[in-house]
Amino acid sequence: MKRVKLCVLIIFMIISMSIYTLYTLGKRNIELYKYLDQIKQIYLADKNDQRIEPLLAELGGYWRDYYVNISFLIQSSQLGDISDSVARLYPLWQSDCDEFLSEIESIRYQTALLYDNEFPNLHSII
Amino acid sequence: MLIIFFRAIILYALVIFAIRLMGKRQLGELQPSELVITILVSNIATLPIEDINLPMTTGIIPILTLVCVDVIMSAITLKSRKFRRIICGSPKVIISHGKVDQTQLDRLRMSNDDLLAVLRGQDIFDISQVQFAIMETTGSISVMKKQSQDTLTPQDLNIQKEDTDPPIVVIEKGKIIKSNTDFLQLKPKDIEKICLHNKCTPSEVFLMTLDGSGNSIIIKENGK
Repeated sequence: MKRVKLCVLIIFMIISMSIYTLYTLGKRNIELYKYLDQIKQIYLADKNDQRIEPLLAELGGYWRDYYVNISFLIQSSQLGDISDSVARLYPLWQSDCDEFLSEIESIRYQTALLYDNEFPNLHSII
Repeated sequence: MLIIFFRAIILYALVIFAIRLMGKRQLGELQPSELVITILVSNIATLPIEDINLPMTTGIIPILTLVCVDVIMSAITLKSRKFRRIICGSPKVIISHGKVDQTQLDRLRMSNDDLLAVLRGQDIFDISQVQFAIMETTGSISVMKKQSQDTLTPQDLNIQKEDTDPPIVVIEKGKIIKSNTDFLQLKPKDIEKICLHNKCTPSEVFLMTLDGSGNSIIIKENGK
């Protein structure tokens, strides 16, 4: 009976941790989108606005933190692609490249996909 | 490299824990569900060790989930006979009243050679000696010989023998095993007395066994 109780406890812990992780992932995504939206808004208003630079640095820092927290859940190759996009933002902005906005959208899309894949939808399970 | 090293250690500990969690039954004969779990666990455990891109959770969570579900399922099978039949199947009689059930053998996809091999494994070389044989859910075959072919027992010869427990180890390499002395309802002092009677101390004993009737066997350590 002790074993059964321990197993029920472990299952309960796994489910709780999964729900908590999903919640944290969602919360972190919202925070990330705030940064992305802010950068996008400023960029659309004025491409050379100097407020973008510190924001990009903040975004980089935030992503590092996000990466560490989520790497125990998600395959590192998936996170690597997003890291590449985050790292590319600053040089793209400096070179006044059109791909800057598409890279922002790419980060948003990939992180949304991460959350969707973690959510126990039927298509994700199967 | 160090990552793989640490991952291997963590997963080794986890697999040991998982097998211990499944209980002693797991180490003996496997039920169908336990066989599945064992194969799955061994496969899952290798994935995060080999591929450092995979998070450890991809190994830890499925292993723990599978083992826990199996333990919970076996607890349910203890309560429900119907559920047990679904999960573990039921034993099948293959020889009854000395006759081989050929239909059942076909159903079990078991050839005559297989049956004879199993019987030979139980020291039965003549199938006519078998009264009853049953294939258990674990895949092993239990055999009952005909009364005329069965081994004689003291009871058959009307010999009275006292029922005693087998001897158990009470001292190993000079150390008294408390759980075993407790089982025999003896105190360390009693053990020391027996040792003194054999002209030694517990620390000089390599192996000492004792049965319920108080019969002891003492093997002293070399050079003592």
